[in-house]
Amino acid sequence: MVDELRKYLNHLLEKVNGLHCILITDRDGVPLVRAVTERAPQLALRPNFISTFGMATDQASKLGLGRNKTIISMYSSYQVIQMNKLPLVITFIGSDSCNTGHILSLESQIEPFLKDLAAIVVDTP
Amino acid sequence: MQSDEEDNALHSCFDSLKSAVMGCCYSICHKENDPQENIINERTHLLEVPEQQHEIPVPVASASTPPRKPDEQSALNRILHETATNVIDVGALGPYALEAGAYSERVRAYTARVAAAPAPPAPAPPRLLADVPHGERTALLSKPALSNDDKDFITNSVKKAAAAISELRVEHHEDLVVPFRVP
Repeated sequence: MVDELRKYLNHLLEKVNGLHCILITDRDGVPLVRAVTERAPQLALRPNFISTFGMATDQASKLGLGRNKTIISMYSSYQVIQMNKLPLVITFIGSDSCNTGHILSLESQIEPFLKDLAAIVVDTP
Repeated sequence: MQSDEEDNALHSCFDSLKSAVMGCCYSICHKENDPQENIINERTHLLEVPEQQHEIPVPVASASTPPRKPDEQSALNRILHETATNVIDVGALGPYALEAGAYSERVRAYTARVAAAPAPPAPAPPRLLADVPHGERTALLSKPALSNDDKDFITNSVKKAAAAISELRVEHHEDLVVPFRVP
């Protein structure tokens, strides 16, 4: 499964200009599948960076606006888009000029694969 | 004596509540304020019942009825727990990092499980306007433009098609509005 999925994520990476990587991790930042180009910033791939989203989305869900689904962080040269698919977290990292809407539209294309991956995370002690 | 104990339990619970709330950004997600709770479904009451009817009358303290202390305690604990989960206290979260050993162990477990999982379903077939890869797109765009003959041919064809469409007429044969059982 992992090879097909990685190939598919790489195919999605090629479709969006300026997208550097797609990571599917658990909420602690432990990767299940990842497709990364050499332009991706290594610091942002660390689990302690990715795991902050788990806490942030929990707190943001308490603001009275319903459940938080996506957090978009714009930096000077990168943008980080993280989606709440708990127990999974999808992280996209792209350049600051990358089309954010195009990245968000990838959600529906990754969604069919998440059920099996979520079952793996839930079953793993 | 018993009432003193109850008072103490109440005070301790309210103190804990107060300390949890103080100094924090606090947001109460009332169920009635939650937009997701307002969805009408099969469990929604058809007739709205005034809130006063929901209120349970305050029980009159009497010697014959024993105090329901465990229930009160559990209810207070539940309120305390709900309040604690609703408090937004970013400062108390602190840095969180998985231990290196646990991290590598989990990576190993995930890798093994993902590799053993069945192949994912094939991606959806390409749509009518399929996206072309970057290289192919660049090659297509860098090709020379259309020749003038082709442009003329396209222009004339479109003009002829437009003229043909503009000559389409509806022939009137019968009434558009038909009276239906009107005396």
